[in-house]
Amino acid sequence: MEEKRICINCGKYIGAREVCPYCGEEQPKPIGIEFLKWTSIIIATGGLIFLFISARVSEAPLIKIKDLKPTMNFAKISMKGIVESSPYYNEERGGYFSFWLNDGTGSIKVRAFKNVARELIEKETYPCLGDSVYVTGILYTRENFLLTINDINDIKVKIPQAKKLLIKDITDTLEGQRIETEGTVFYIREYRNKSIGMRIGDKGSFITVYIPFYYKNKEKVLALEKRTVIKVKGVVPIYKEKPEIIPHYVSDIKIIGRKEIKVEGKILKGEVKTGYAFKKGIKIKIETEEGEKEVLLWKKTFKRYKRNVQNLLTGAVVEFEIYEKEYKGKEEYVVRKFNILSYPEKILKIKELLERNYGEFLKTKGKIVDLREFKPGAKITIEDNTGKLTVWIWRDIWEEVKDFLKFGKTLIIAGEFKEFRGKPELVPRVSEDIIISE
Amino acid sequence: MSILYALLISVGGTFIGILFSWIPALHIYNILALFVFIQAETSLIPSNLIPFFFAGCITGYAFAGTLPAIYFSTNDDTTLFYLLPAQKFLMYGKGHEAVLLSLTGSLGTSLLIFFSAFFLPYILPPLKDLLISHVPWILASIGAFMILSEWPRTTDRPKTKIGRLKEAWGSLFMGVIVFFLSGFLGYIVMRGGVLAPETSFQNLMPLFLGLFAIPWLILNIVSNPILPKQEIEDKIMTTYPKILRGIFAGSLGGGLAAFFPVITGGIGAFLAGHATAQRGDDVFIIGQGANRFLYYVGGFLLFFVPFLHIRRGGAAWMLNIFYSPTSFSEYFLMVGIILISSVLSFYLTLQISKTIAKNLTKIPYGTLSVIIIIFIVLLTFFIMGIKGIIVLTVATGIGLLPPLFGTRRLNCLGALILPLTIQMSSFSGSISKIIGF
Repeated sequence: MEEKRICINCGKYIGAREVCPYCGEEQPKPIGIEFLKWTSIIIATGGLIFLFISARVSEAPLIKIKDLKPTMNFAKISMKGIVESSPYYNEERGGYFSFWLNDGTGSIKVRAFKNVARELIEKETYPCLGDSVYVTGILYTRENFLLTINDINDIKVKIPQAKKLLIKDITDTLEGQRIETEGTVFYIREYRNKSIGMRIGDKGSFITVYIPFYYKNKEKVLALEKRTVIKVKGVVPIYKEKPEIIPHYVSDIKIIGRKEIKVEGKILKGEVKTGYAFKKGIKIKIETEEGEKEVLLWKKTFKRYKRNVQNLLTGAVVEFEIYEKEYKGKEEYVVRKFNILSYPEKILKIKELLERNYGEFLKTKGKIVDLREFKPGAKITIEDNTGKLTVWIWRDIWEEVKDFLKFGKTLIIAGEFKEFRGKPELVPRVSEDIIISE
Repeated sequence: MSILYALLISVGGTFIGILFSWIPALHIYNILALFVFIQAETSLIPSNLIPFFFAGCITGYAFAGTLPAIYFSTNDDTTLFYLLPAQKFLMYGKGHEAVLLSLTGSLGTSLLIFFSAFFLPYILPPLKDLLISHVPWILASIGAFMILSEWPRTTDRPKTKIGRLKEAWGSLFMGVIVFFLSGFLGYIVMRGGVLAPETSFQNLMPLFLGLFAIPWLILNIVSNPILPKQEIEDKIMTTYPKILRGIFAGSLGGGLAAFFPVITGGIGAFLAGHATAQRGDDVFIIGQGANRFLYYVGGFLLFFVPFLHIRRGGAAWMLNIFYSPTSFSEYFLMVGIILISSVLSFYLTLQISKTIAKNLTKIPYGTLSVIIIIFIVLLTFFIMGIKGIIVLTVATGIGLLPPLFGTRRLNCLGALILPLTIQMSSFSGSISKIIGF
């Protein structure tokens, strides 16, 4: 141990200093301090080099999820397993990528941030559901364990071989497995989050091919035309209880030709019962020999029938040429053409109309006695010698008819008879439902 | 969970915190690390009581940690700035007054926390959202400011121009060297996986003990200080406005350090000192007490603030291994516990300070330093194994450079600032590619 360090000039205590802080006198260099200086430089630099080399050459230990302990927080470890969920990517705050890894003993969330996440996407080194992954990262202990990747080279992905299958054989039992199939493109839809859903079919079976928004070259999928026959390789996830296909890359979708799709038409004959109109179409319930069915008549199809429009009323017997379509997992009959075989020719008096049931398509005649315009549409009141009736006309129809609907004019109006705030009203389905009486 | 149990365990924690905190160079986080190690194996206390035990320990440390800083040495970076004014007080035999000033700052800040607790859940979460994306450049700026604000320590003694130039720029150059060496060491420890996975929760422990604690103990052994007889009267020579100024300045630094990641109490005090231009040793020491309290205890409390739940400081990180807060009631209970622990810590620390002041000249300081070094080495070996000892040795080598070459010890915080700035920045992957891990 050193002597007490006193200034040789003023005699004050100076500790480890080489120059007295009180009088400025240079002090003889103590051997201990000189020795410490050199030793610390050697230990600092030599030790750093040693630690650096040892960090570079040593492999992070491979650890099973069941062996993880809370005290391993911040440990650099490696893990090996299968990706058990479709990866999640978010571009906000510089980028975030994550997926769940299962090694047979448990699951762990693996994640990457910012440029590492972005690089995984840009260089297409991300894993997909079902892939085998060897990943090295820093472990974080929270409520669950989390593994953070700090370099894209820290993740090695092995894509399993694809099994060749027909679309009809792809069931939910194949979840997480990689398959290869062929089908014809029926439609392609870009969702709000910029991901793409492509419906492909083969011999009456259909499946959706889902392209996540972050995939490179996804515009190539959008450019595919309907009826293109494609071959697609990808993993099978289950979405809303139905199997889908997610390719690993856009290049997993290959065009193999074009096919003319012949959609068989089907005739459905029955009596119109009730129905309702929505913005772009009309749902009509008809009574057929096979029981009650519901058909969808697009308004643009309906409007082609001009004067005949007014005859599609409750009680009319109609022959619909329809095709079947899947919508939200349900079958739907979409009207391609229709032919009205008979219809109720009598125009109802307002009093008679008011005695009918809500939901029916009815026709009446009356003189305009009141007319008020609102933002969503216009409300007119018609009158005949039996009573008064409110007619509500939506804005899109109103724009087409407002020029000839004037106070005092007599109208023949067909439409959906419904209730609004406890009061009956007639709502024309299309502008052709409104005619000026001669 | 009964409030009574929470209170009892926090009082126990306060006693443990104070028991270990007066020992020079021993950090409460090292004791908590030992606890975590044992708790993980044995489930010593129920997990819902651990936060209150931690709160007691940290509050005790925030108060009693002042004692070694003023009487013996500095044991972590938050006490670096005590040194000049506290040494002055000590040399005039007023070490106990310096302790009392610091405790006043800490107690005042505990009241500040208590009264602001009702607003924090509404102020801090949006503030965090606002600042989170700016953290990397703020940290980089602080690192740059630390290096740039070094000044040439010249005495005009060397005879030649070259000699004077060397003397002037030597310390500045060494400051930069220390910042980058410690930064590189921090990067290796955090990212290189040199420590065993089972002990990684405490990978900063050998780093900080090596950078701050052991170098100071070694220098104390070498320089062997002479200390005068101390007065032990419970009085402070200051005014209420000065107390308020000290608390304000200290809270600014401590608040900054508690809220921002990576910024430690030492850096917070350094920045606040520059920002508020404090004058007067009494204001300075009160400010340091406030800064220290807010950094440790305030930072820990942020983990419990509803809608925020950020982990600041080693204690919150360690606690998160066992526990996650979920409700307002836990938060307000924690605020109350902290206030009670603060009052208890204030009086206990005061009594220990009197005992130390009375016996200061009798304490064999060199022997005490040697014993503490041995204890630190054994503790590191017990928790981290031989790899921990290697990191401790290298960190000690770097930690010795600032006092031996006359540069700021604060530059050692490059060990945190550099790797975490890299991690939060967008070029983390590129750096990793260059370095190889």
